[in-house]
Amino acid sequence: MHRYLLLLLLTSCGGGGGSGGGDDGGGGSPPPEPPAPVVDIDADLNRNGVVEDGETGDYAVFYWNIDDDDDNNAVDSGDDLASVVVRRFPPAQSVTVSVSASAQGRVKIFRAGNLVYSSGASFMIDAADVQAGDVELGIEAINRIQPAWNGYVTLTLDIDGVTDAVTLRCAPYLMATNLWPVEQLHVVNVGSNNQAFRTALQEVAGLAGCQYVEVPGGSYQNDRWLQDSSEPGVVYLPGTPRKRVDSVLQTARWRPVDQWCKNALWGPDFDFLERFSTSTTSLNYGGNIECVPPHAGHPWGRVLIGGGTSSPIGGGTPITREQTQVYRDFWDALAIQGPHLKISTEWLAVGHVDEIVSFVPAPATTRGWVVAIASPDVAKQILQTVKNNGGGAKKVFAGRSGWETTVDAILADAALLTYNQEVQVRLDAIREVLQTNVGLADGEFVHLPVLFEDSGNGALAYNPGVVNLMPLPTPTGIHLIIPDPEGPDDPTDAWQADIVAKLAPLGTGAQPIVIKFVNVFFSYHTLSGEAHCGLNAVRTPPDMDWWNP
Amino acid sequence: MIALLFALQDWVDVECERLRREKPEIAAKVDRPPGLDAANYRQFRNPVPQCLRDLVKIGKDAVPLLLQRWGRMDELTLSDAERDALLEAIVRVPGLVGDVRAESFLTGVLNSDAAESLRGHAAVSLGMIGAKDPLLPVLDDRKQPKAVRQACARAVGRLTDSLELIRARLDDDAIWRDLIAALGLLGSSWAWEARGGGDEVRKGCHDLLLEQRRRRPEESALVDQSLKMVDWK
Repeated sequence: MHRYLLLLLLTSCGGGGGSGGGDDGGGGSPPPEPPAPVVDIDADLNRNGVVEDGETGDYAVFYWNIDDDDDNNAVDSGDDLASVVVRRFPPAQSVTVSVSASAQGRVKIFRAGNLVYSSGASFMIDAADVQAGDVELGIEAINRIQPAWNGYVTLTLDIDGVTDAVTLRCAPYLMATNLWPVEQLHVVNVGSNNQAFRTALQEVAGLAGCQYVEVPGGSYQNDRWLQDSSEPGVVYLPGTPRKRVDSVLQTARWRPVDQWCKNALWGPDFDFLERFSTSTTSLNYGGNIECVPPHAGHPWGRVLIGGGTSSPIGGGTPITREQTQVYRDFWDALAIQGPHLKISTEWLAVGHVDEIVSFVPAPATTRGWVVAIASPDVAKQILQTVKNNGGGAKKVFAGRSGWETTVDAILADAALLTYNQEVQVRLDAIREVLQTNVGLADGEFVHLPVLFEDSGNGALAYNPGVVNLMPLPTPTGIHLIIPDPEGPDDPTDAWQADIVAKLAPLGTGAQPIVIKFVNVFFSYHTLSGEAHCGLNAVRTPPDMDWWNP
Repeated sequence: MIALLFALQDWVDVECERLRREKPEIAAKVDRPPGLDAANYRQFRNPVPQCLRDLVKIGKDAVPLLLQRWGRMDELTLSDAERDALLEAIVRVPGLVGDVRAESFLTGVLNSDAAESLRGHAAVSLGMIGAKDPLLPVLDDRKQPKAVRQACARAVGRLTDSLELIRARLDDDAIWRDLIAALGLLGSSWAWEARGGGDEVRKGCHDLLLEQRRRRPEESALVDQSLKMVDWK
């Protein structure tokens, strides 16, 4: 932080005789000069949670105050403030604090509980107050980071034309990655339809040591797609210890269960970031907002979304489907996990990245995680092996009325296989995008068996889509909730066996991979979703400061 | 148009009567697809009308019932989106389940004044049931809407003996990209695994695609997609 010395002319009195000298040891040297007063505004620039005089650094951190500490279902104001101190100054004519242009109207500043700034270019402080002592201000953000405001505010103190300035940065929302341990696992209870799923989840949550939370479906028209409704994350603020504020970002989806995060999660030290678009495209949903785990240049990971322009599988007039621009801008403006990375998902009926890729903790690997990617090729090869073993007549989706088929029937369906080969070509291109942008090697992709079919609105998983999985990492194991693909028995489910064979080696003795296949067939799969789609989680963020990259 | 299409479709009514008598559950699912019921599709992850997948799983039994529906759309109260989804399914299901009985119906739709998208779907379905003859006149008629001709071009890729037919039309810029896609479909290694054989066709597709890539290097990405489908080693 800069200081500007006031030019004070210190004149000696009495023509050189040293009237104020007293006995100074001989009468020749002048008295020590009083320290020159400086125009000084301080903030916690070293981000240790305390404002000290003379701190240096690039910015202090302040908070977009959208938790609900008093639990009154209203956004707070005037608490959780970051301190800014205007230092004592001798008599002055005027004391003004100006707010940098892009932050004007996007911050509030308080003094002793009273609002002193909410809009405009500047505000005044009574000069007598500054003369009397340090003046402490508190600042909060009242607007989200966005292209028009990158979250920074510079406060410039002006005392009689001499200035000092300090910069603060609004703490960004940090999206959770699949590597963060789960504290709470959320699922909508829609009654008997998803009873089997919920029973399995309870078991896994118990093993993973996390809280299992059921959302009452009856209160939300049995809208079960909890993943799509919101995106949990965290806001970290400096301090000793560092302050954690949980945060949930509501997606622009406009369906019933979207309100649950507001009703149930919002509260003390728990932000609710309300949706900020009236768009309802399914590409806005949470399943299309994921976070690539940390990698080079992205210590907090990188936001991954889907969308683009392409012909439907099988050809035809290209279609464009995108996540609404204001959300895409938001990911980028947050900066810490941006710029967002986009892969092509517009050809899918729902259009989400979680239909085709998932990030799986992999303690046995150098990177610590891998990408699970849907693979029609693997699914087909496994069926071919079953057939070659004499199992062509074996059932797929056994017992599922209206859906049951056989290995032979699938492998003889030229239209279905052509469709899947086209999907595979697209998935290969998506893998290349991820490899190029994230720096992944071929071996860091785990190809899991998923066939696709045409829904009339785009591609859907033909078998329960096993990449639509939910990782629950713990220090003693990585629990994976994976849709049961319901493949042919050879002698056990051949698709399951392939998944286990590929994922289990990614664990270690201390942190084994523990897989739970869950029944989603009629509760999620036939409704165009799978396991991850129906779940959400509050996770523990890593013990690191975003402001110290 | 709709009535004319069905003047000659007596088999449809006969077959529908049998299905309603012998397989009433199936008939009910086709007559009122659950995916067009708002109470159902609002539970979908993407809450839009969707019935193609369910109807395809019924198989060929769905086809006469759907064809009959084409002539009786007014009996259902549907939103525009629901109606569009059902019309598309009626035209696409016969192709996806390979029901050659629908050839005259699909030919009628292709040559009708229906929406271009439906005519295009009819063309692709004709290709999927191996009906070459109705496709070629539309494919070669430059007065036809471009989107319909393009669909016909892709449809010929669904035939199993269309290599020369495609080769002969590769100078037609309006449909060139679709013919490249058709070569990928025709030579699809996975499709030929399902059918058996096809090496000669795939080799032909591969060579033709390489030739086209040399001819139009600026379109190499498109050609490469089809080459990946053919996957000729």
